[in-house]
Amino acid sequence: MAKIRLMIVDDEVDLLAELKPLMERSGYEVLSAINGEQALELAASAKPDLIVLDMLMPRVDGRNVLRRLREAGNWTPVILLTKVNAPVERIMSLQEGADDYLNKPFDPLELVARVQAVLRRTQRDSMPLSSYRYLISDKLELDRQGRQVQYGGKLLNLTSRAVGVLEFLMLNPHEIVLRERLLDEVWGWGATLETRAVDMRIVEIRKALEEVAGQTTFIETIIGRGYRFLMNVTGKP
Amino acid sequence: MRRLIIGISIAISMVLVGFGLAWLADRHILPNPLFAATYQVDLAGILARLGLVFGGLTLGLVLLFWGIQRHLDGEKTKAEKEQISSQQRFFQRLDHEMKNPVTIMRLGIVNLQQSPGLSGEQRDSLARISQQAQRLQKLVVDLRLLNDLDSSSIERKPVNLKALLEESIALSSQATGNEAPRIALSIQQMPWPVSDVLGDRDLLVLVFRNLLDNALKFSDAGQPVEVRVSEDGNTAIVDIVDTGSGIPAGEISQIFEELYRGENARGIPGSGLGLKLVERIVTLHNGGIQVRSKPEKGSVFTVRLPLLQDAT
Repeated sequence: MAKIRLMIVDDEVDLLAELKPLMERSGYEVLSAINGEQALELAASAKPDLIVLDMLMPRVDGRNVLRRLREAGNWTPVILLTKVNAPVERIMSLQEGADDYLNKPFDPLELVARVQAVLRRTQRDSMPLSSYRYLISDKLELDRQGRQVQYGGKLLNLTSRAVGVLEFLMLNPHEIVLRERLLDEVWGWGATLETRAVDMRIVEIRKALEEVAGQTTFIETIIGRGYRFLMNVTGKP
Repeated sequence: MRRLIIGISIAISMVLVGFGLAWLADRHILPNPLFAATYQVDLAGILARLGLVFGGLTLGLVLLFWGIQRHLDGEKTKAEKEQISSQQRFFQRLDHEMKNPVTIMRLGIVNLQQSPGLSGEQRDSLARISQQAQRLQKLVVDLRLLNDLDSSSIERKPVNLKALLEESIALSSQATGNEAPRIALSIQQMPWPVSDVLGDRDLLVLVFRNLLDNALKFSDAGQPVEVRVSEDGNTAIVDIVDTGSGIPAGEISQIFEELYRGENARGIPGSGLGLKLVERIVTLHNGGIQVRSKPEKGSVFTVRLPLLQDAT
């Protein structure tokens, strides 16, 4: 079986030099590009299975590369390396078609884990859930742009952070999502806050679901670790 | 603004009094003309003019001072804003300059750690470097949080102070290990219990968690820490009191600055950003924080937060 081929894109040569052997030891074939133009050419000619893309680069930056890829109908999974702390910016990069992102500086082993997770996820379905505006599970519908959740047409009264938590769980159905990860994704400052903050949003989501849907079986608690969305999720543009 | 209204009112009343007296004189309720025998003086006319002149002068002065005051205020906020944004820009650049080097260091360390044939000594050494790189990473992340935190990232919902403080106390006590709980909480219950505050619960936990951790860190294991909550008008007052090492008078003005570490803080772990973060969060809640301290006696950190006004 041919090796899975990664393309890493960063304008920092030393970063490429250190990232390449790490990924190779994890079993991947690694191509690298040092700017946006090179990345676009290589993406077309070498057809990588996954792209690790730095956001900040001179001339054609990561976001631009991503947009051009998607406009050209190229849905190769992309992990953005970036500094997107503000939840708004994060939502934007996911809407533009990134499959995941990691803030610099990152834990190297975390990047390896993310690459594996994205590959696992994208091998299952042709289009990633993150490319859709609506996430649907049974009668539950989450509008990622409008930041609203409905059940059977009835609006759930949720805070924006609760919507964020539910969104992230629905984007990763059947996967255990650690509470620390949710703090990182939704609040933006993972290590600084208490994981109990996540538990309280889950309580909020369950209460709203109980009131409107009369049931709370969507989310499973993995005691001491995190949460898991139990139902199948489909996307709608 | 209030001073402006008072000033204009005084000016208008002067004009009115002048005209009123003039009217009275005109009606001969006041004697007019006054010196009828020698000069014909129109007292009514004089009074009316005097009223107009003094009223006009007062109005002019009031408007002049108001204008000057407004101008000065404008300059002040402009200067403050410029200072804030230049500081923000500095931290943004620092973040930008640090994130790649720290990333590369961490990658390099992992590469070395995964290479075969390392001696025990080399492994220990790499573990130490790795820890320091992680420490730098934490600093970058904390600075970023501090810089990105603005009023748009704050959630505003009613927060119950009792539950909030109980949770913060539990978290702080847990973190310090098995020692007996030594934080006492007392909340004003009479004549009425303290109302809720409006704010971001997740961030407020961070505030009190930080202050309590400090209180525990800077006092010995046997010494008590007290949290007292009371109400003053529309403000909730939370005092966090310790009987620890205290803060030297010369350092108090600096403890809320970024990366400041006091004399007593040497050898005690901390990023030097905790209190800055606390102050930022409290300010974003339209509250305030003050500290009183005596070396070797202890410290009182007082957090003020606006109370949620009853809708009734």
